[in-house]
Amino acid sequence: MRVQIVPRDPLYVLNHCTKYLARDSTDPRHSYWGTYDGQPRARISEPWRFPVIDSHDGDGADAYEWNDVTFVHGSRPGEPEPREVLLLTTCNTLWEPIPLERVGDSVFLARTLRVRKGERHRYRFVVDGAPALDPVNPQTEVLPTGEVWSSFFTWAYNQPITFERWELAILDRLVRHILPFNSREARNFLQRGANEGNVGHLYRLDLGVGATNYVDKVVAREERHRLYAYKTCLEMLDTVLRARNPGRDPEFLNESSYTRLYDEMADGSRWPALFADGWNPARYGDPGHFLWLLRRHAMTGAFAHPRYGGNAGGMAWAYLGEHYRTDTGETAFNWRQAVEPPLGTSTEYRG
Amino acid sequence: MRDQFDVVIVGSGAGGAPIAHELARAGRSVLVLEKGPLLRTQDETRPGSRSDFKRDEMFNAGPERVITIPGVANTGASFYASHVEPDLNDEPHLFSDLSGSAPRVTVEGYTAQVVGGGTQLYGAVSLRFAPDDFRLRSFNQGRGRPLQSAPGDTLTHVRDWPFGYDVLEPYYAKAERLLGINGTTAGQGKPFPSGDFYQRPLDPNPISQFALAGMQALGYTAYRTPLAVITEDHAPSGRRAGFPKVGFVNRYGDPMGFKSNTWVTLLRPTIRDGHDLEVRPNSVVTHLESGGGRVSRVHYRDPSGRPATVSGRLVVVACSAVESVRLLMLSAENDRQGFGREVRYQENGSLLGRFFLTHCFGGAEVAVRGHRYDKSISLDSDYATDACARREFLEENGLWAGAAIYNNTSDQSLPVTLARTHGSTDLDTFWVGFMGDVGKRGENMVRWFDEDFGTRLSVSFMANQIPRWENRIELHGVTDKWGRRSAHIIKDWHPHDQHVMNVLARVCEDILLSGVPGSTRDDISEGSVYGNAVRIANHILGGMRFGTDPDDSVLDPDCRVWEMDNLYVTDGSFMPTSGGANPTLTIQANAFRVADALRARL
Repeated sequence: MRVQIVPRDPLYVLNHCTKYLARDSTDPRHSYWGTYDGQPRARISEPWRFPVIDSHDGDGADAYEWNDVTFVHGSRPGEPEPREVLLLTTCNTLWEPIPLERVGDSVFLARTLRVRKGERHRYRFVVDGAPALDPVNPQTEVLPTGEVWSSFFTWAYNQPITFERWELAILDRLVRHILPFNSREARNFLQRGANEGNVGHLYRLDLGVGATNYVDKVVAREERHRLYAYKTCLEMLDTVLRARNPGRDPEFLNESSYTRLYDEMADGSRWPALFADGWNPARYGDPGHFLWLLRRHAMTGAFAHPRYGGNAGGMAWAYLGEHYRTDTGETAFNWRQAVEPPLGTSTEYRG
Repeated sequence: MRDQFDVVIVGSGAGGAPIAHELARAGRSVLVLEKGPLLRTQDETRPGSRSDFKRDEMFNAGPERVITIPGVANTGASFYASHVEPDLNDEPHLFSDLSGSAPRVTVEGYTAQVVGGGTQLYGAVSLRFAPDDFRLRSFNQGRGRPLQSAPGDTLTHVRDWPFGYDVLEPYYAKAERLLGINGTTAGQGKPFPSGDFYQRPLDPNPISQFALAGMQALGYTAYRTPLAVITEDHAPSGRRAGFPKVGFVNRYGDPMGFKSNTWVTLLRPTIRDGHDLEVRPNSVVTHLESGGGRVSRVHYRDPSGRPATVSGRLVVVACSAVESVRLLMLSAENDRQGFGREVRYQENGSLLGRFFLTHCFGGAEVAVRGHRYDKSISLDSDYATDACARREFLEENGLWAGAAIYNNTSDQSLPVTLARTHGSTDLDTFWVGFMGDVGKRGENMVRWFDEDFGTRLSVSFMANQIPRWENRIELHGVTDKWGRRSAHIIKDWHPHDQHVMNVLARVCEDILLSGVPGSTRDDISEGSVYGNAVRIANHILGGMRFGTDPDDSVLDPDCRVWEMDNLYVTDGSFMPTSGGANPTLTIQANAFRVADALRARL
């Protein structure tokens, strides 16, 4: 077997299952305005948490390079349980199915695999001989053959999942407009790659310190209910920009075009200008709401832990740490001391 | 699975764990049922293992979720909760003020659902209540100068506790010793006759010097805020000290176990020492069954959601004031003639659910100009003062009760939190201020960081709230994921609460004005939760107050439900007044006290 199976105790798996999966209710109370209507995941809380992706609980010198990915298949109490659930996944060789094992005496079957960070894989369950998508995890991948597989990605994955190149370009310009990394000083810092060699997961630093990559990931997983907003609004913003700048690629427009877009989204009295140039309010009625979303995601992506896909190598933290100094000339943000190595320098905490 | 125990405890936090610790160590068999997961510290499952808690700002308040419950005032609103707070669509709390407005679903008022309960996420401020907090009725009957801004009903429902500070004092000392708390006794307004068991506090964050200077300039005696974080090796819990000043404090579980939550201090060591204590996590208690004035069985769901039952000679409910009241009400609805009558559910004049309390709190905040500090190298607070709990202060200001005042150090020390708490007034409004402050972009964002990153200093007060009959917990028609009716919190402030908060916010402002060179009243923002009744700070208290008169209380002085021989309630719901300080240490001390009474019964 190519992949390493990680022993995790039943309590670990139950800790990640009960709150989300165990319930009597069959209401679609997690459908997010119909995003999951008619799907079993509309009934459960936070389906994006599956498969569970966590720090690798191993001792090897390279443990930090890996995640533990726990695949779970559950039944509802009282309903017939499958005799056997196998896992087929590209983390492993596809001809070697891995049987899920019962978690204690629960209705859950699970298996934990060690998967390298920064990767994306597809998988299927084989339930009593019949291939099946994961009924909980909403992420899927469609093969060129048209086959649909369930899909997941590990921490700090940095290839686009959600957006096309043109969408990423507009998104990146807007994210940069929001974030504090446009000053000359910040640009110099970022261009130096000044983060003491923490380049393990660096990716396209020109992309708003990775905040754009964060958005690409968060709407694929945790906030999939906001996928519609981005897909719709980026398309309409592209239309607006092209209407205003015929024959020019939005990616290369000067800053003033984006400043204007931002100002118009921010001010309800200026929305008519957007509507006149191609933003269709029937598709997304509140440009200000999209801007709010973008602001929250830009800030989170830039400054949250790099595992979420932004803040590559802790670059945004390092910027704050270098830029801000205490009265005694020391850094005013010694984040490294708290954070696990090799990203940080904590001698205690392992992440 | 084993289904008979001497004691069954519902909830593993501040109210339940001390009893589990004491009775298991006294040779009794104890089961703790906990709704949430058992998240482990680093090295807990084996040397080298990772913790389930992370130093990660997204563990404090994670991705956006949306309230989908129909028919509430905030259907469609976003919320951002910690990983161990409930999904509000699965287990909602509804909140209404007394204006009669439609209820809304709120994140406020949950303690964490995890082994250790609220002690996992709290800021760990572990103050004792002041002696007068136990006798506010008597104090006000004997006061010299009148209350100010106090309508005639202000003190109608104020009760003395059935015992004084002197009775609880040895249990405070026990809690301080067993939990592992750092701080200083010198300068506190409370006596410590049982001894000083504090560990040595770490060096304060340099920004706190301004708060200290302000307190001193006003003539207030200050002390190092007691914090439930170990700074030295702690023999009772077998923990080794490390470096806890990392900014991931309030609203974070501690992966290293330096924060003295009830799992690492009381439950885990008792299990490791081989006593007969079992903790069943991921197990939610649905209702209690009674017969002949005794709880006969505790009904719960196992981690798969399957029904199960267990019996205990004694049953202790300690799953947070809101949820404990709800559990008794749900049990009553399940058996109106039996359990319902025994707890006087919905009887005329019944006190079950009444006198729900939180705290009057607020404070003042300023950016210290011309200086910058690394606020991430901090615990939750450095300096506190009891000056506003002195009788002279209360007389002079016409207040019915006093407050603790302390500075906050770790707040807004990390960048994502700085943004998501910018302009937010409670947990329900995380991100709203930042998202809507659209002028903060690019260069303006740089200016904002220049002004606010590592410069902000705040001083807070924590004061008693006037008990009101109308402030209560009921059941609502909205059901949780188990089909059980949800808790409905109906609450508002009393006019005198406004006076209390105005006076104390002004004191906090004066501390900053006196302590921060060059500051003016224009620079300092001050305020309180008055006008925002939903803001609870997870200090959820009252609803089943104890007392000496069965007609005037739900619990007897030992926290036993009057009409039930073996049912005890030991979370904050027993409190008839909420105390002028953060309540956790008092809940823990009281639980140690109740444990002594229970041991005598078994």
